[in-house]
Amino acid sequence: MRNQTQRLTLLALCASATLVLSYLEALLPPLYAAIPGIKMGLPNVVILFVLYRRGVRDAAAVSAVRLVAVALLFGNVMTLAYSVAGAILSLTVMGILRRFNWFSPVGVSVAGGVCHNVGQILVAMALLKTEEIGYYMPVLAITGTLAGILVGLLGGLLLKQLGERAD
Amino acid sequence: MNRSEQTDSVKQCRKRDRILIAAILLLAVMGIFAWLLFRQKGAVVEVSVNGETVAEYSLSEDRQVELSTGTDGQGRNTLVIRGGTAEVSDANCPDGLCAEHRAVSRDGESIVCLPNRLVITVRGE
Repeated sequence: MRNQTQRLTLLALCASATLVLSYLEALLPPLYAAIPGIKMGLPNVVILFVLYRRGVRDAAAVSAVRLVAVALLFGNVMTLAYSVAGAILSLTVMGILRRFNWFSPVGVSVAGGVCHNVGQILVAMALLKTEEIGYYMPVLAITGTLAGILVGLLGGLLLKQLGERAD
Repeated sequence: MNRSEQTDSVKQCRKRDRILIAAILLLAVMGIFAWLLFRQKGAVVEVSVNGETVAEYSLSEDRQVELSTGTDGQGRNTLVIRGGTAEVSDANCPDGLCAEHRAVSRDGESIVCLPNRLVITVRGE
């Protein structure tokens, strides 16, 4: 991308898209009330798109704007701690995997989804001072994988439609 | 990179995707099985608020306890022990996930209420 204005515009657009998708996701009925902490993570389609098109730094920027705005709009400070930990871990891993080119967007997104859950579990263990919550991990690994596959497929479609190169 | 090399690398990536997904799912299923195999029937429920244990109740006596929870003590969760199982029947937390959680009875099982920072854990002894 040739200038900063274009970059800023694209990132701002993507950040607002994540907010709309977060809202949309909040409207969907909770299908799995029995197991907390499960979300499909629709906004991550946009994060994945930015990661591929612009790199990990810009993906982190969009993710940061999204987390703060979502916490202010729909959540609270407690949920922010969980999502920040998840986001840092998953973005780090996705950034590394993206660079190595081992996986398609689906694989990268699956790794990101599972790492997001790992981050959340670690924060929960630290905040609640209990290891018992670690029992959730296998369940969250399965749902995180499924969510990652869906996000990866949608993100791949988006990249195909809009072009993967950074223009 | 010519076209056929590119398709090859895409295929390779898809293959690695599947291996990654299979590996994660396998580990998760093994984890669940290990957990199901090794957990045992619990004897007591331990109630912890803000990471501190505040009470312990025997699972063999039926009772209902109003717990004062949350960082400011304003949280309310109702713990019901009935027939060797424990559950949260009612709570004033915003999501109410703890009240929807099924009853727990086995060693290591827990019900967590994140908003009220409450953890109810079943223990063997």
